[in-house]
Amino acid sequence: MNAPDRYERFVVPDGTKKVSYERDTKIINAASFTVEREDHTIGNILRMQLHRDPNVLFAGYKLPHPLQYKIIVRIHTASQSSPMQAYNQAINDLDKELSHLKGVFEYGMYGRFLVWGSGPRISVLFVELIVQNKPSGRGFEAFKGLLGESTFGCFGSTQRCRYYQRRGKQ
Amino acid sequence: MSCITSEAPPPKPKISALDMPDVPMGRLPPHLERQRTRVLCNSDAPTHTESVLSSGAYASMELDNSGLLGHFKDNFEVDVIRLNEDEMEFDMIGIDASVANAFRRILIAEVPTMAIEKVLIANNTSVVQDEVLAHRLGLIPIKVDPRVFDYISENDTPNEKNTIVFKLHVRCTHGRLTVKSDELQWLPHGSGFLVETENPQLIQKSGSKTYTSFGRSQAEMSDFESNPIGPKHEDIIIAKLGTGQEIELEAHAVKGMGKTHAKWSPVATAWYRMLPEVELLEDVEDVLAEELKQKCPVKVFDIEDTLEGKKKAFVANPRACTLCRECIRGEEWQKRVALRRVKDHFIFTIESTGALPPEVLFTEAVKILEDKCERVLSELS
Repeated sequence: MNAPDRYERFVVPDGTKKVSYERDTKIINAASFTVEREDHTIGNILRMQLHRDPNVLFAGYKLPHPLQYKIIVRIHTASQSSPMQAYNQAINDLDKELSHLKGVFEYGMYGRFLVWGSGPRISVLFVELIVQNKPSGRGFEAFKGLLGESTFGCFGSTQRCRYYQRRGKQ
Repeated sequence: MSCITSEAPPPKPKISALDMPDVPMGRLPPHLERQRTRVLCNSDAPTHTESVLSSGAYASMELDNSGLLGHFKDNFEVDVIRLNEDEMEFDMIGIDASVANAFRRILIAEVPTMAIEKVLIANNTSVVQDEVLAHRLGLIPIKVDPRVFDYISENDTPNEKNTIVFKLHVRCTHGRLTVKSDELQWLPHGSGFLVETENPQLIQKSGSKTYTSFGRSQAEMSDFESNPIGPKHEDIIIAKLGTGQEIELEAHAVKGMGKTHAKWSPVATAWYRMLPEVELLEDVEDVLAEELKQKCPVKVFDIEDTLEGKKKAFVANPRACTLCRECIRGEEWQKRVALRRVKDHFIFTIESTGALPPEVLFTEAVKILEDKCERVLSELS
């Protein structure tokens, strides 16, 4: 009866900003960021990345109440950096890590069999050499560079080239 | 029981603190490395569960922890163990627990799917009440790629880009009839029910309107030409009818996320666990080895023959360990077997309900997390 609507969990209402920033008056280089309509999914990741920053002295997040769908992230930094800077840096680093993760995952899934060309002239190249090496960030980028982004991209759309079994393992 | 008289253990020689070897600087001693990278699963509770993230954690040893945490790009690996049409198991090595949990949460609640939301019931004389029937229809997984469709809000009219229309018309003539999900027919042209208006002049002017306004048939859309839309499983029981009972309804399916209602969750479930590590701290031989092998319900331990002809236990399959802690029950066993978990090696399992294959689901989850990060950054004024 008193429960808020389920769409309140992720729809930011008109008038409220998604992220707002409040400096702490009593402590220098300290601020609280209030992110509306987010939860532990982004809060914990942001906190983890902030901890890795050597300039951050304190980083934590909380959900003030489980029925109010927002998180408050509190950051204290050393004097070399500001909380705003630390926050931006953390999210940029996360973005880069996630795109790398996506690349390695797609390589792990599809990298063994590569489709060349498209339409009636499709041929499949078995990329055995690269399978032997561990897929690392550098190797994967070099691999994509070798064959061109477009070739790799056209793989995903061809239904019949989704080979599931890994050689030697079930 | 014979008592063996023994002498008091020989006194240990006293070493001055000044003569002790130096703590190695620049490198972690093995016990600290174990604390940093492993969760110790003791018989009462696990210890050292948090990840050591701050770069100054080992500053007293003159060791920069940010170097150990690394370089994500160099350490990150993905290994696919098993992949079927509906299910996938893969390992991710080198990520933190918060990232793994974020993926799990997004897979369960934020990857969108299509599910039946509005049910227009023309006739229901069965014993299943209207709302119960509508609830059951909502939970049926629909085999369609949700990325083709748009979200619909309250003000939008249902059209071919945001709604899928199904029809169910069953009548039981004699005996008992079980209504299964294959009775749901897809209507690519939109709704067949006419909106009732009390004003006959309105109907004359603009023609009779249905509950949806499809501009063109969905069957013409390239995605659905060869594969028609329908429920993933044909044998889901929707209702049971007796003689003379009839159900006639139309169901509209829309796009939504698990956060709104669990019917829109694309995974049966998705979970992860950390890689277990089992180590034998002492040599376990003969009778004890047999006992250890028997204890483990998932056959983690096995016995090999040593050169002297004795039987020794070894860890054959640590990955299967479910942490039931049978092997460390009792004081003596705790000294012989150590159970640990590797903190940055996650074994993910994703079971899809059928709308999207599991590897596509994971890629979508990563994209959604990237979008979230971007929103959180760009909307900061």
